[in-house]
Amino acid sequence: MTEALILRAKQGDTGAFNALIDTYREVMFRYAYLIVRDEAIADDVVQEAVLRIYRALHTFNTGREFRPWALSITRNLARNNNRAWGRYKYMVTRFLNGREQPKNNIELLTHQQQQASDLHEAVSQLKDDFQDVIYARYFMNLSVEESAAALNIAEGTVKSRSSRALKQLRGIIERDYPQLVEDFEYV
Amino acid sequence: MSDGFETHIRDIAQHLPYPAMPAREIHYRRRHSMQWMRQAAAILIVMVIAGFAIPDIRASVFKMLQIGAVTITLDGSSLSGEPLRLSDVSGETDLATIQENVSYAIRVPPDNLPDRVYLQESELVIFVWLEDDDIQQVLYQLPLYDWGVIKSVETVTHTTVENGEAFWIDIAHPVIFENGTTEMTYFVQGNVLIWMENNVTYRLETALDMDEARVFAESLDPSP
Repeated sequence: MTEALILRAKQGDTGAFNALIDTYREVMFRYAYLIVRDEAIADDVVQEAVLRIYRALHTFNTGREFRPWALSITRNLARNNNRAWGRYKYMVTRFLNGREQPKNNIELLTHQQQQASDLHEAVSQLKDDFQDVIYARYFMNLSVEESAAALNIAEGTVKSRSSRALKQLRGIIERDYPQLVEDFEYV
Repeated sequence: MSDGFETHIRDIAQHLPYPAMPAREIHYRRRHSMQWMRQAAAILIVMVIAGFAIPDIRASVFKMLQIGAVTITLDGSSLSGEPLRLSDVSGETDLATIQENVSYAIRVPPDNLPDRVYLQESELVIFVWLEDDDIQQVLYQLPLYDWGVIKSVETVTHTTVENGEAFWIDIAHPVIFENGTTEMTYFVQGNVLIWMENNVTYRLETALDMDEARVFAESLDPSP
């Protein structure tokens, strides 16, 4: 199904492209949100990623999986946004557009949701490379193969980096977020 | 690392309360980017006008040019340094791998493929042409919002590439590549042609003269 949409989209069928993107927009948005941690910025990142996918689709090899490629583009844009140029551009654009700053929605979270938010915060203390594998493997549930494609690294690197990232994450959790391991029995 | 901890993390992560994704129309034109550029230009114009009221600023307002990701300061810095060496460039790969890993269409001269190609972070693509292991020509392709390139020269010649604005520099000068986390600085010995198309900045370091460099630039095709 996806391959058929891609082939039609490559031939200029915008309806097919829309349908293709609709399939993956949510996962792209979630991935962007994990990295930039802001709903409005994540939305902007996805918009830009969709545009880049549209422009680069003619280069896409239909023998590959589309989702990791789309997530790779999303990740690059999200990471770049976190750097100085992207932040400056975002702030100026929002100031001139008069867009409201995102509000801190204080919602009532379930215990599990609060734990997940705390975990997200803990992961954000890792360096970018470690964050990437944690988000891909454990938040987005990508396979090792998909993670390797999305992050443009070897499958072996996904495994080794995941192991090191988890080790470091465990140290952060035990130090700063003990509530995340209160119910966990160490093996 | 125990599998139990890994499973525990995965279980927790599934409950992250993601915000609802806004439903919006997909724009295929780079409206946001063009809007940003117009707004940035508006800011610059306001700054220039305001600058006239402050004598100390006036001298510096006109001493900077911008094209794509490249900022050119016209102050003729006295900096000197080493030229680019192949050993300084990492990320050697091939054209197919580059195109699979960047989100824009890279361009190559169809009859003169580079001897070495490199892909660096933030989608910076570097093509190198060699003669007897010496660097003869270098073409940089970089997306607009990721890298900043700063050059310091005394004068710049305004020209065109495919009817778009381009800058030509024919004197030695220092150049800095910077993306917020990585910085690369070296001294350019020869001529440089800089232009932008489709939000990709192109920077050609070459021994060609300006007209030859423009012909080369206009010969670039999307990578096969």
